[in-house]
Amino acid sequence: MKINAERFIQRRKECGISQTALTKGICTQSTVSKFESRGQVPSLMILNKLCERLDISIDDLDDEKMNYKNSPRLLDRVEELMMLEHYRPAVEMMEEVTEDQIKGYQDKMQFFYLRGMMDTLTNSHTSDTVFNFTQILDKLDEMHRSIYSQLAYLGLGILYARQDQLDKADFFFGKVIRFLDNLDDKVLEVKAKKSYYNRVIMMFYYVAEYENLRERYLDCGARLAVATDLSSQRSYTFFMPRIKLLAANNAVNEEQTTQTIVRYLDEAIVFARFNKNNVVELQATALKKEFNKI
Amino acid sequence: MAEDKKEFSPIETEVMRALEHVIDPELGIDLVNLGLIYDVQVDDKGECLITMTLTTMGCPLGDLLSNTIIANATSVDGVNSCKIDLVWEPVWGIDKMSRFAKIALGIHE
Repeated sequence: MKINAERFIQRRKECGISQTALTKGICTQSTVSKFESRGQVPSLMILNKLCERLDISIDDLDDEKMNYKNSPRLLDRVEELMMLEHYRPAVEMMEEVTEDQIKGYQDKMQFFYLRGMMDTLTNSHTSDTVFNFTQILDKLDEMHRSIYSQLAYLGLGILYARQDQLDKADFFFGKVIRFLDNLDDKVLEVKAKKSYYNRVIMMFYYVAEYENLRERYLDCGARLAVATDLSSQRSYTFFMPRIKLLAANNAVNEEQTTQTIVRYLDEAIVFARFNKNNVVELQATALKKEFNKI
Repeated sequence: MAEDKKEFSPIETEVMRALEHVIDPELGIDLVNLGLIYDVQVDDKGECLITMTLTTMGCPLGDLLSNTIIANATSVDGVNSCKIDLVWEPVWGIDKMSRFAKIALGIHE
């Protein structure tokens, strides 16, 4: 094992955490300072805790294990494309990656989450789809402490909802909802990395979609309000086209005024154009046309 | 796209016309004008193959829509059976829509 301090520093800076903040409750600041400046590696137990705080694994710092260096970046890109609903390029990129190329622990979880989620969202469900989520829940994150377990629950919830098995969907969405209800807002606002933050928005969005499907329109609206709020706090637009389109559909279900519905649709169209989301743009435009007739 | 390939036979043209009556439920526009039908081939045995795409991989080709497509295609004289080949290449975009569809939806170029 050859630990690469450079990668550790890079990661810490990406997260925007100071040495002092990082080490709080784990070790002294000088331990990290020695590691970063002179490559003096702390004990594995300490290093492990530090890595956990940076949301990486020790393996990610291991030069020998990181022979496929681009894959984490690739996975992040795939995830972004997926969140933008640009499924085609995301699927193509994902097909280039095989399981044995992924070495780090966190990366493995991200890999299985993406594979399961892409299958689910593009409706190409196979027997492997559930297996991907099971790898996270029963093997990599058995204690269900990481966000990947929650994402696996979300994926399973969406999968069963799309297969019209609502009792099973209820079970998994119930877990996601419990997680969201117990989220610490302050931690989320200040500390969460971009990827984590967007995943939380994604959970709120799909929970809202599920509530709408179950005709619980008030709950749908409440979840959408949080998703909008979170997106606006950091100006992340990934989910905005869909959030606004769903808000419009939900407003239709709730028999709100035409003015309200059209306002949501206009917002959906603007965000869709901005994110180059053709599909939402079209759907919103078509729905707006209906309401302008009235 | 269909126009890149050899010209449609009369029966293939008939199938294409029949598909103009299949309306996308969400958009209220037919599949042909949306540019979702990439090719129609009818062989000597009257077997029809429709190569088509959807606006996004995120929406499934529902049973209702695929049944409607098949029913419309097989309503053409000389077509005995019909299969759908769902493809994602080339990727669909708003540019694939006909001028009529764009005007109907109020999308201005």
